Amino acid sequence: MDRIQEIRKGSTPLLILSVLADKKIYGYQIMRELEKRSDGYFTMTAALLYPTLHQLEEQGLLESEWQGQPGTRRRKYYTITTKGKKALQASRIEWQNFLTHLFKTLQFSGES
Amino acid sequence: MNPEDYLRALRAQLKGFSPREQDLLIEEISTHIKSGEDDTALGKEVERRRQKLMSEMGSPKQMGTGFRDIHRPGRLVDFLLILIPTLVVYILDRSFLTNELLNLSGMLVRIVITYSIFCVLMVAISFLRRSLYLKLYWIMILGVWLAGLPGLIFGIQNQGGALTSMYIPGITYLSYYSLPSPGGPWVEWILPSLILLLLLSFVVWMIWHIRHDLLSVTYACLLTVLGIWFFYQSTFEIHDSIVLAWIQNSFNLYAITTGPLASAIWLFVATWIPFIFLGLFFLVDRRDLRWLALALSFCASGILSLLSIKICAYWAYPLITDVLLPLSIVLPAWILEKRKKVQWQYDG
Repeated sequence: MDRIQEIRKGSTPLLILSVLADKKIYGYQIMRELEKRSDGYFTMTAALLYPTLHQLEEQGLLESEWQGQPGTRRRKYYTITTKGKKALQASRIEWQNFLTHLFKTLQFSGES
Repeated sequence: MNPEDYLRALRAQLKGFSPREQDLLIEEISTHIKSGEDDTALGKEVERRRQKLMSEMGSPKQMGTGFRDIHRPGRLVDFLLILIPTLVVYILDRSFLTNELLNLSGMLVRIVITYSIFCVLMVAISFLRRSLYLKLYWIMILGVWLAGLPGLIFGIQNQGGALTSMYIPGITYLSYYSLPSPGGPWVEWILPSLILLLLLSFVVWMIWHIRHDLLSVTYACLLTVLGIWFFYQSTFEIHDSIVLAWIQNSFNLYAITTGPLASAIWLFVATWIPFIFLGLFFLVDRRDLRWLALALSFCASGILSLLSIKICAYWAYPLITDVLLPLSIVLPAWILEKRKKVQWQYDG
């Protein structure tokens, strides 16, 4: 179980990038969208989400922009950058490769 | 925990950040909470929505640690990337740079070019690490080296002189005591001034990007003002007619009044104690302590000079240059931040 948790945690940046792949949304929406897409399997706390968003921004994979007037309720919107799209694509291939081989191995073990 | 308590606890976790940075982080999380409170998908009643939301927040400590890990990464490495190269140059200087060597034709130019290339390398590393403090430090030192280069290449390269390297956080400079340059004012003043102006514009551009953090701006200003001041002061010293007699560099006099061992110990301590404070400035999280450490890292050698007044025959130089000048930058900035902080807390 711990290993699955670790994999889930390790996949957080990838999941965030995939949610932001085609839209510009703010933190709260990212959390809900992730939950919706995974039928509630992938949930994350705000304490994990926001530092990860900032980290991705530091790495140049995301960009952010405050929208709304100061003093009123402003929201910080995140968008994926070209570098982020490339990283997402590379990660997708990597995960696909990993999962293909994992399933293949598991299937083989089951048959024998 | 209710939202107000959560945000208060989070702010307490963000103590190492500037008030402006704290405000932005708190605003983002506060917006998250408000978005959740408005989201009817979480429940019909506001209280129910709030409870569900708060259960998804994670602890303020975890969030604060997350932000600190991202926005303050590798400050120890950054500090070591200042300390270790400086230590290496210090050892090389003390071990190999003799007056005989320096009097060889063109030697000063070669040394300055070597140090400049070394600084370019450190600037490149700073950009790779995306570390603001490193960038400012090494760019400033590179600027001071480069500003001294025209005078050496076109003027005094064959006339020898004494080379003194000084190590103050932010300042490693070469002062060369020699005859006025035959290259004239262009070589001695105008060209170096243009280089320093270019450097200054770059620093101003960097300051614009960090304008929200007064502590970083102060650090940048200290490096710039003192770097430029030391450059001009060392050029003044070449011209006896311009030198203000009471502004004497205490380092020139320490050997006269005490024995060589005491002088060497004093010079070593005065050189390296500022780095201890610079290390504190880089590594601690408490903001007031960082302000104090920044001030002391630039004032420590001057304070030491004043305390050892027997060694330092002239007190005016360390008092003005090494104590009052840095304090005149740090103190108003610190007061300004304190006043702004009160305002922001009130606004919040």
